[in-house]
Amino acid sequence: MATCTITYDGQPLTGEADIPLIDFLTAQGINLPHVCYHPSLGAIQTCDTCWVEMNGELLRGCTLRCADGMAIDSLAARSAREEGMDRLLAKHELYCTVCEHNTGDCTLHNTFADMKIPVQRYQFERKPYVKDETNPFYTYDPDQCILCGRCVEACQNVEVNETLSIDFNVEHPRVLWDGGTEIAGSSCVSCGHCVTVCPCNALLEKTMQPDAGPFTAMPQEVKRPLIDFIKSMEHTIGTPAVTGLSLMDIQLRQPEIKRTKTVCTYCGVGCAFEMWTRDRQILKVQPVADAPANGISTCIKGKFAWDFVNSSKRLTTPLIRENDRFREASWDEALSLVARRLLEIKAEFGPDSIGFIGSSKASNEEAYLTQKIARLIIGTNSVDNSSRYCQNPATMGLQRTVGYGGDSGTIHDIEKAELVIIVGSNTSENHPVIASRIKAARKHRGQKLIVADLRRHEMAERADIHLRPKASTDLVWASALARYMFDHGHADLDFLKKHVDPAKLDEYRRSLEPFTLDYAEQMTGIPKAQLIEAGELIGRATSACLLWAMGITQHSHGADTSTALSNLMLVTGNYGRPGTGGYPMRGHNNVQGASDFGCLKNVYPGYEKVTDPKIREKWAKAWGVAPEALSDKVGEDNFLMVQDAEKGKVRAMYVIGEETAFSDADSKNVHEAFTKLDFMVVQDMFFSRTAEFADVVLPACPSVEKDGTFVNTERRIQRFYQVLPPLGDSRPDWRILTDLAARMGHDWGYSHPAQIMHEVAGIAKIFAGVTYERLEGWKSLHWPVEADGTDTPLLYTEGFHMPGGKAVLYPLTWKEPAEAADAEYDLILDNGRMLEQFQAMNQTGRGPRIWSLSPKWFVEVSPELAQERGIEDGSWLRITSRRGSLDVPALVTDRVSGGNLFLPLHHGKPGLNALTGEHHDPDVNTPAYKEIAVKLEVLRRAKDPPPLPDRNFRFGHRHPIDGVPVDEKWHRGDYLAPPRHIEHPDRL
Amino acid sequence: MAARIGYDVKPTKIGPDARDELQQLLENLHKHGMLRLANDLVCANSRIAKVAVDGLNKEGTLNALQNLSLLLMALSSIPPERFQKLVFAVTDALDSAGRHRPEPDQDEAPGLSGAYRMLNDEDLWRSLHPLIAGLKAFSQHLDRDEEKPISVFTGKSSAA
Repeated sequence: MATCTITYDGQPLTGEADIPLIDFLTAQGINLPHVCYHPSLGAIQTCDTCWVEMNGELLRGCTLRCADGMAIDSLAARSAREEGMDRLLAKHELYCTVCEHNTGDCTLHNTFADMKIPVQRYQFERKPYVKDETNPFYTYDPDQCILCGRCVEACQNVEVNETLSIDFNVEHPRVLWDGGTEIAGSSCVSCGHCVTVCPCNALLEKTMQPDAGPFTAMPQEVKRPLIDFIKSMEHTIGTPAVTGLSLMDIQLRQPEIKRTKTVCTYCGVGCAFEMWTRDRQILKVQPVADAPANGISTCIKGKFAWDFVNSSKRLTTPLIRENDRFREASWDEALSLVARRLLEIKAEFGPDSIGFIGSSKASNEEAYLTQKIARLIIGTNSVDNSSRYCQNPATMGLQRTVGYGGDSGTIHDIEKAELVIIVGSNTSENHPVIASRIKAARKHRGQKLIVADLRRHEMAERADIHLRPKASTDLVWASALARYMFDHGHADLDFLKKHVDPAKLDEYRRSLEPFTLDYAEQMTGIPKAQLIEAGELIGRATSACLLWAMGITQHSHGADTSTALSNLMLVTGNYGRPGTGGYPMRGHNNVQGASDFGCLKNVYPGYEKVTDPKIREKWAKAWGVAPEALSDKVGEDNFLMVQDAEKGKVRAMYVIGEETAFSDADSKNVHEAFTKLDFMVVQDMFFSRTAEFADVVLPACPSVEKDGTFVNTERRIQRFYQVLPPLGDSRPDWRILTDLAARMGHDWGYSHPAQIMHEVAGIAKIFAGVTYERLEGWKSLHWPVEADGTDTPLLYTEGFHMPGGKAVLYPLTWKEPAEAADAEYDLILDNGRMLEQFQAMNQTGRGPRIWSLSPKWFVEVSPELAQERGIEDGSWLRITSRRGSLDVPALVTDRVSGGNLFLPLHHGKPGLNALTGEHHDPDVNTPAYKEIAVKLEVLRRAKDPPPLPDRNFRFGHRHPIDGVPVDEKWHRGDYLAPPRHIEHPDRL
Repeated sequence: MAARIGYDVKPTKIGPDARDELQQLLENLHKHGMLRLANDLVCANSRIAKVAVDGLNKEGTLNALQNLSLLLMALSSIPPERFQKLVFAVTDALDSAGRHRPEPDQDEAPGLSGAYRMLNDEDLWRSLHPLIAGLKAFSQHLDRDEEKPISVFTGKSSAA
């Protein structure tokens, strides 16, 4: 770190050089007043409260970066700073003691209090606008808005949803949504960035209102006169005494407000943030700049979708099936029954008659215990998690070519890449924070973007090139581009020579021979010219990251296509350097960790093979048993467990936090299989569809009611802390599993998840240096982690995790998809998530707020198909696959084209999986959810209103701007730079 | 074989009820010594009351309470802007009077003829000057159009 010495009010200060003056002073324990400046947003220069004098000139302190010899005089600029604050207070009424935001982190209040201003110069003036309460999650109060523009900066340049703006040229400026004055119906995606950075109560979470403070919930007819009374008293006694009251109010709130670091339990980005609670009330989610994966960023779910925690539908008592009904039971009775029945079934039918499905939402420690019970107590390797349904093909593709089944770098690498390629991933809806980083890199420094997807989603709209292949043909264009690299001198031959196994190279090159551009055009439907354009962009890029997701993996040859994508990255030398690599976008918060910590049929934690005798011996020794006590036979996965249940080979299943009855393909068959089990345990927060088949239901806790760790899509291990006590008699999964093991004769005695992590770290090599101390607070580690704590944010810098350290270019051939359209089933049904919902909606579906955005199911139909078949918004359609059919209203949109339909996977009683089939990727047994040929019938039923409400963000029209147009403010005739006074400070 | 069956979850209590709040209040009162103080107050109530009543019934206390009441009654009838003038006028008068430094040998009663002489006594008028100046300042302040007290106090004008 370079240092510098500056003089501040005559005092020499030494600290980090070339950082913003405000940050420099903060590090020295000096507070230069500021309101609009935010470390994550930079100098916006609107608030005029940070003036200093340097070389006899008044300057905004936020614009200065520290350098040796700088001499700053803050005392000389006091009147200018005070004028700036006076102007803010003409726009913002101070009633802090009765304001919800006075919790100790109100920037405006704290700055005002620090400045010790005796009385405000200008009268507060109301604006001619009403408070906007049209968003389900937050409000905007123009009368409290100081026009600092933090929200605009966050929306335009951090989230890059480009919704918010301020027009300083109108008489009464305010924050605008899509250039208009109402939030509902705008393109606002409720990511919460604006609310997070708002320095006052202008933008405020609805969950904070009205009772965040002891005096805030009083009725308006009391609050208003009380405010007026205090304002009158201020004429006599000034503001210090009143500010004293609000400072006391802050202190009053501290004992009852608890701030706890947690990690989001939705997608795999791994957003960490503080959760603010008062008793069981979740006041707000407050992201912080220190969060390693996301900083101040969140999406709608991380910021606002926590209503499920206190849902009245939470399970809080164990249930036992008895006489065709469920009755409540004690933990003792329920666990004893589970232990007894599992041991009986093991004794009668053998260890492999029992299957375990671990949870991709539960912690690493809980995944570890799940597989430990399966392997050590039951003696089977039949343990799996939901990565089987989504991620295993990507893992297979990476393991074939480069070694580790995880992202090869970090989000930071994706940000810094010259080119990003997104394939089969609706990143802005499914991994919104990563999408924001790409959008920002693109907006600020021209990062190039190629998107390959059937749908024209937001990232496709923003792309330089949108390749729109025919369904299930991605392997062809990826291989054709790999060949193009060799044919046109873009292959990185030096890289290949140094880092790729030469034994396979010739075979690989031969395998590319059929993949000419003409062939690719014919097979994929992508014009040859566009393929060349993409090939040139990829070939010429100095660094490229390739992201892919379910659009690739949930096909009958998803592993092969994943392999082809990784091959392409290898051919172009895009591994092992900053800003390069392959990035499968993990879909659940801990789908990576559930696999990393051993909920897979073939590996112990740390991807150590169950079939390797030395590995088996190591684990047996660590667990205190003979090697023979552990099975060396690869177990069954989710998919096969269910099939074996149908055949009577699997007699019992233990399902933790997975909605298999809804999520597994061909749900009719799944349900039939479940009814044939002798014994089934479901451990969940809610009485799920899967629980309906259970014999015992065990009430578990969400992450906010326990401690643990998750692994995000970057292989980043993060701790989460208990925010709330378990609801009712529900229990953390790790405790349930520990208690169950004890009843099965294995009293492990864990009293905290840290002990479990300590145990894993002592056995699995890639976690050797993982400790809770090294993960404390906002710290995190990317596996593999050396014993000394050295972690690996970027993989393959020293060679590949393959024999000899060499990557493998894996030869592939084109295979027809297992299911394709024909004359009868003439359309292809794509499917996937929506931004505002998650999976089976067991979490997002618990409350009206998210529901209000998209209350109904729908199927997206292209304008061409709609015109051809006479379909309009709200027309009822019957979608029929070779397995089943369902009725759903239509939404006509150009997000889809031609004969492709898109169905969100969240809704419905039978749901999407009434249509999916048993066809799957034979390499990994992942169902081919996205290969569904269907036919469509327009029903003669009265049309519904358009299924997506017009207030949904998808109908908004973004308003992109560079940032806060502060120049416009300065150029107004009525603006004079402080310390001069102005006539209408409320208007600018 | 287990057929598919449903179950209606019974809602669990979310958040503290009155009983929990009371329990917490008791705990906090105990932790901060308030319960001990309250217990002490309750147990000693007769003796404390006797001390309080004895104190209240002293002439000085009664005078003070009655005078304070009179002052409050009078204050309630004066608009703040008039009272403000009065208060600051008195402040100015006292300030002016305070600047006067009397000469040491001028403290005898004048008598009638002496009073006449006093009218022509320039030294006397010089000695009365501070008092007159004080009265003048007092009346001038009463006539002044005053800013807000806090503005007068801090010197910063305010339209708020």
